Amino acid sequence: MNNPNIKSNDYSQTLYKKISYFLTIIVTEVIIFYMFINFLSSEGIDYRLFLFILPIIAFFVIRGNQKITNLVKESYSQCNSFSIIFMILLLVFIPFLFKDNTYLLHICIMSGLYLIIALGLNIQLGSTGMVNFAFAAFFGVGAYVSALLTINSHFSFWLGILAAIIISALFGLLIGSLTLKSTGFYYALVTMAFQIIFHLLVNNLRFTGGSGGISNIPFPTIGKHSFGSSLNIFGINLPFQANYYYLVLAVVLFSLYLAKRLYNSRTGLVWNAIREDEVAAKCQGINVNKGKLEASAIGAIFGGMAGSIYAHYISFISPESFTFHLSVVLICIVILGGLDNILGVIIGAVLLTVIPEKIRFFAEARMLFYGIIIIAVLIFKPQGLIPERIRKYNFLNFKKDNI
Amino acid sequence: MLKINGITTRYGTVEILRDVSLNINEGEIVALLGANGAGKTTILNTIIGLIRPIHGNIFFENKRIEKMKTSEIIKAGISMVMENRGIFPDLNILENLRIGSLYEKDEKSINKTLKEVYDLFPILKERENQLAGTLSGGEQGMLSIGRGMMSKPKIMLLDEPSLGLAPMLVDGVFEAIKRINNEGTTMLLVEQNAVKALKIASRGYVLQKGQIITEGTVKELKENEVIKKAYLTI
Amino acid sequence: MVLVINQVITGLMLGIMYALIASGFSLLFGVLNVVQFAHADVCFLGAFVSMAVMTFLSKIEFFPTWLVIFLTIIFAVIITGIIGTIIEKICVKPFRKSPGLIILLSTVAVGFIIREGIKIFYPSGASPKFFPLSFPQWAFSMGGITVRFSNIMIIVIAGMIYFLLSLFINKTKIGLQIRATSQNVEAAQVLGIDLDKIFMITFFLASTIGAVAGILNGMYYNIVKFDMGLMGGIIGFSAAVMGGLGNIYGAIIGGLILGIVESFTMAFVPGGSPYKEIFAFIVVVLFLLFKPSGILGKKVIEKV
Repeated sequence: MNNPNIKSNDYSQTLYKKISYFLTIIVTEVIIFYMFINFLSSEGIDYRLFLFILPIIAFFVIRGNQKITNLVKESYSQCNSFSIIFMILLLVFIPFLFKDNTYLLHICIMSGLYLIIALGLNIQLGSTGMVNFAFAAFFGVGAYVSALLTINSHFSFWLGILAAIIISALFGLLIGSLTLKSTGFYYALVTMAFQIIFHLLVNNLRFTGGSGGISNIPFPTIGKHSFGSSLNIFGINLPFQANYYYLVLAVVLFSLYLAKRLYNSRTGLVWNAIREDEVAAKCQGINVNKGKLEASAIGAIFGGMAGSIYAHYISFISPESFTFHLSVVLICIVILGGLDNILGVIIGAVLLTVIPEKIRFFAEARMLFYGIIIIAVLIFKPQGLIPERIRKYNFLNFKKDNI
Repeated sequence: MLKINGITTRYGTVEILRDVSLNINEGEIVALLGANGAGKTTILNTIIGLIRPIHGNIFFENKRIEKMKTSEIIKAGISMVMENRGIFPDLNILENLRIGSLYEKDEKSINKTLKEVYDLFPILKERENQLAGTLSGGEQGMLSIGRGMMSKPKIMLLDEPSLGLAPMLVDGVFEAIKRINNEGTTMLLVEQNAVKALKIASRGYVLQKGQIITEGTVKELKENEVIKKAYLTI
Repeated sequence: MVLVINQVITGLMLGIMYALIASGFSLLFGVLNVVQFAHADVCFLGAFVSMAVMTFLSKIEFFPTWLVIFLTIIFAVIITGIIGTIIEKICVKPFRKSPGLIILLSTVAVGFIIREGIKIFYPSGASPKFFPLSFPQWAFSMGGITVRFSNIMIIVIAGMIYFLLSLFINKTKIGLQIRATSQNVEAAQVLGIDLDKIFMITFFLASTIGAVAGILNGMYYNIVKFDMGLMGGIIGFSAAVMGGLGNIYGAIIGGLILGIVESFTMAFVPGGSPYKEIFAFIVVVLFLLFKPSGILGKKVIEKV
């Protein structure tokens, strides 16, 4: 019995629902965006910091209200792609907002770069349980390879980043293969050794510029446009950092996409299995060695990518940017965000890149704070700020995934 | 002597024991039977203080012990012989035994107990200086029981003493248990091998999936059809 | 040839320092299954504590110098031991039931806290400091080979430390409990051994030995810097791993080998000085490739 009235009622109900979802997403994301902007641009304790804190308080108050939280949850799960597209739209807007404040743009770019590296570390540490102290070195390998290739030669940045990816993957594989037979402690030790060796080598070899580093690394170019010159969009002149901002944004989005796909794929599941119980995994027929090597290589690639971009952004690199300390900060980011939690890593990277810039005296006692943060998080909230969601077996995913 | 009332324990979110109650009178040998994973070891671990129950209490000679530290419980007079022996492989027999009497201050008393252990298990005296890890399964079993005796317990908890032993050795173990009991030590015997256990016990409890499903004298248990089919056809 | 022997002596000295640090790592891992990554930092903290104590005691006018030195060492060692137990309470105890790598991370963090703490809170902590205590400068030369009083003292003191440690572990009641805990933790608990106590005592023990190592290091090289514990820790840990983590004899052998490798690199490899650690690491990795459980390692059998 097809009652046309009922049908059209259903239709308008669904339409009404969809619109409410869209609106919820738009409102929440604009608020979050607004919070982020205020957090970023606040100078010390000022009204902007207050504007940042206000929504946080509101969040805790509203949390109790079931109807609203349900609405928010549903909106994001039903209109996932829209929420992502809208967020990207907002992010594209940032260079326009900060066109007169290149320092803030710079912080955004650095957050993005550290986020990319952290995603790589998350694959090893978070997903597979491999404690790796060498990510600053992977970052450095990418930077130095790209720099050395492009300086004084015809090779462009695009070839440089490709080379960076390949070489860092190789180093990742090298480290991974050395410790296949031994337990986690040995892997940690070998990565520490690699990190130290890397730093020693680039600091002392003439070929890598020694402690003075490498300067005058060329800007990337697309056609006639060099990343070193300002960017003109719709008649608005954006500072040259905008070029890098959009490049980093693109790579960040790509990295997030890659990380998410890996997590939802069989590879991600294999990695988690290795983390939980290697022996049991072997008994299930999982090729543990292959899984570890994959994690080693893919994780390293993230670091190398970011390194190459970094080199061509700052156009000067020195050993001091790629120390054991940075590796520990990266581990701090992944732990703070919650191991194997991509959203958490994003928050961790942003927090731990922006906060040191905000609090001046923090800089002096940087590592002291990072140490305290690591221990505090491990004791009080070992799952990180946002607890890892237990794997959702969304049947739709199984149809689309082919990795 | 030992009263266990309504003990419930949890591991994470899973309840292992649910409202378990047992009673052990002085001088008895009580058997605790059940399949693997029923929770028998958990009961013993709770009595000896390794696990804290969520509900319930345990009284030993009118002292509440479920929240006490293991060292205090041992001083009160309970000792446990672990599943799989639990010996220290790189310590010799003498050292293994001495750890059993950690809380005994009087050297003379320790030596007296040591002599009793050696009387019961002469082979331990022979191999006194041998590393425990090099002993055979049966010898380790004896060592484990001997170590349990060293704290001069009023009640001994035995967790599957026959596990992994050849049938001939199993008899020897149960004989030793009977002899120790004759000297006055009460026994709570956890066993999978129900037939052998019921031969020396006077009463028994049956544990299944964390709950006591049956209790009674050995005669009653042997006549219980369900128990017979499930546990006594070995 | 003469040069080689002199270098062997130098290498031996460095090796003994590494061995002492590595022994702390192995002790803590062997008994408690804990990787205390900040152990080397605790060792060098011992040196700084001794300097602070000495400065304080020297202000007391009626104390003769020998008393000041004597008390300094005793107080410094005890204080460092106590610091070790505090580290245990905060960074290890909460994670006893968690995977071991969590403790590795938390102790790496504590290492940073110690180093940066010294850098920030010790007066002009960032710069290298001259260590006020040292050995008498007597030396004995024969045919070009020089043996110093300090060389002999270090060997003697290290020997004494190991002798006392062995005595404590093998002949005392607590030592028996420690050995039992290292062999079967569950059985130890069933027999009433207080794990809290064992953890505390083992950490105290390792940290006091570490403090002596730090002080000896200061006395021999006459210099301490806040970040010596970073490199020292990585090399010390490597030495312990190479020798077989958990085995103190292995730690000694590992430490001696790495000490000699580094000294020889500095002396005989042209321009090799800045790379001496690389050679050490290569040696470690090679050993691990062929014997994953270390030279005298505890064998780990996986039934797969």
